[in-house]
Amino acid sequence: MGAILKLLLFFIWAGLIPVLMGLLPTSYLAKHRRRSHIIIISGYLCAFSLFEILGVPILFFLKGDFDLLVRLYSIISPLMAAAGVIRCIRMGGARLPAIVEVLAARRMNAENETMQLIRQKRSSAGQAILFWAVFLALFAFQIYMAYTRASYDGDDAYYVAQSLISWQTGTMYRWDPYTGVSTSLDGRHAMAMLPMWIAAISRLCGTHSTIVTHSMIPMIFLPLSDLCYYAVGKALLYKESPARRLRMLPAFMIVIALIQIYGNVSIYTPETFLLMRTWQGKTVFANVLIPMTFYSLLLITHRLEEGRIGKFPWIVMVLVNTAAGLCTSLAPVMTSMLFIAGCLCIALSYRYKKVMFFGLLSCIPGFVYAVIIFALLLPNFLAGGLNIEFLHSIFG
Amino acid sequence: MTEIWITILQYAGTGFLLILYFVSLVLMFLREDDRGNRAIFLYLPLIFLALFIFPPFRSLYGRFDSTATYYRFLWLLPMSATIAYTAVKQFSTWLKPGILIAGLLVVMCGKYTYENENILPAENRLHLPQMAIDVTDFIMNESGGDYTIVSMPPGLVQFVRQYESKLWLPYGREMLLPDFRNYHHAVYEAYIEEELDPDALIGATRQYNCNYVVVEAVRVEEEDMERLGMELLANVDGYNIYYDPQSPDWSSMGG
Repeated sequence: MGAILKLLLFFIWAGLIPVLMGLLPTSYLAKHRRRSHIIIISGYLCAFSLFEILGVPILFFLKGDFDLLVRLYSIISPLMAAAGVIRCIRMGGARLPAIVEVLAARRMNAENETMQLIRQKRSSAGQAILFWAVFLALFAFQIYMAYTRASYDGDDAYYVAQSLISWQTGTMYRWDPYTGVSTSLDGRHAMAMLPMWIAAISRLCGTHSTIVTHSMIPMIFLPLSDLCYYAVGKALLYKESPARRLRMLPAFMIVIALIQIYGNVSIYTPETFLLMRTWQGKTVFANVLIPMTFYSLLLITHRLEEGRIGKFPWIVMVLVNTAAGLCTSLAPVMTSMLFIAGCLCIALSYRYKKVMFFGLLSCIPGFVYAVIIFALLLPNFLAGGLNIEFLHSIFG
Repeated sequence: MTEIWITILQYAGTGFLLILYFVSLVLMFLREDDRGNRAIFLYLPLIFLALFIFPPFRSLYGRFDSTATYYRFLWLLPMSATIAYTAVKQFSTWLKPGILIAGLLVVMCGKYTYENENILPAENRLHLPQMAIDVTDFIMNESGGDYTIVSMPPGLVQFVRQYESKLWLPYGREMLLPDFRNYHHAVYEAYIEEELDPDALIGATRQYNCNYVVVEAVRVEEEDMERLGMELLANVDGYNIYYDPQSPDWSSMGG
């Protein structure tokens, strides 16, 4: 298969299909709110959730048949994408990215809200363009470094080797990634299926899974993380006037990008994970799912002030909680805790108790996952904690 | 409680970003007037911070997972978003110089990621050391692409199975983890001896039925390996690759 065809297939399976899947949940938003960044983020949450929902039963009940998982995912995900496109068209379509809307309006000599704003506040617009240029330069630098620099991380010997084994053998978690000997299923770690998602994308684009992991996935996950922070920034600046928000939002993104680049104060920060272990589940948890949990909570407060919450914030949270299972074993527990505590803060601040009820409902995927994890960890819990023998039983 | 403070200090590391975050929280407390932003970006993180420093909570966490990963609860504090938001709010009236100041503060309080010793120019699209790929390619070519057990020096074990899963190892990266420092593995121990003892190494690799043995060329004398019945196949990127004629054939296995 030619390199260009492989690249094209990668962008179809890891880019286009997940993005189109995002049209399904965003069709529950009013048309003027169906912004492209929300569609893209929702799409990846849908893709991760679907993979987890398909993968866990196959892992436990169908002997970890990776080929079957890839076949099912490659059929259902395009169907979901098609359903998203059809439903979105029926519900009035989606909004184009702001820059495309402005350019299209200029070409057709039509009026556009952003253009009006730019015309009225020329100095704000000038500053906004400058800030966006600086942010894009920082972002391009991150992408360039992600492709041209190799980050050697010991944990890759586990995660990347797991992807490779599945890509080469069509099985999941049946072989010890460190040595290759056959091993019993380590269910708890195996449930975090992001390495399998990467292996599936590699299979579908016919590329060595380690090339996909190290060279191609950062091209998807780095912008995805920035889009999540963009969504959070936009939600935080919700009450600012449009003219102020026009320049404050790119300024916010500049500081975020700088913190990412200068965030390597220790090996534990989300920023270190983002730039040095971009392809690992913990990174997606810390840099995509946690920001999206904060975004959903902010969205609930905005909708409460508007008088009606609607379905979308809850849908996002259901997707975040389901997708969390793909990342790391305790992620669903932690996102559920964060969301419920956030709902409690909202309930107290706004004196609106109902939010707790819907908050708990949208955490059901996290609870189900927690029950499974608890069942897997029960012997360890009863034994009074972890010990080296337990670790040894995990790593072989 | 001491362990919790150690975790916080380890998380904060060599920079002052955590301090910048606490300053941002104080500014939010004093100046944020949006009810929703206060609830989600001030009160909610404070709840988790209180929970984090509550020793019984750490003990409970330790029952489910290793306390070595307890720092991940600090990810629930939205540090970068809070710092960035506070910066743009504080400097909103003179944003251009304000962002320059905020940017400089971040640069001064942080640490440049790409200076990290584990980040190196990529030698290939796999982002693995080229020598690990060359050594693996040579062995897979020799074995006809079949399953084979290869004894590798500790410096290569982390990488080779990210390139080829048909290559099995007698020991893997687990032996390099601090948690396994009290574990005994004859092959690994033979490699980490200051002076490599060929008898000890080959004795151990035969115990594990290794087909090939890879050793840094500078660490081994050719006549010693010949005496032990090993066949030198090649020197690849500074590594001698030996074949053990006494080893079994694994080619029909899968994994």
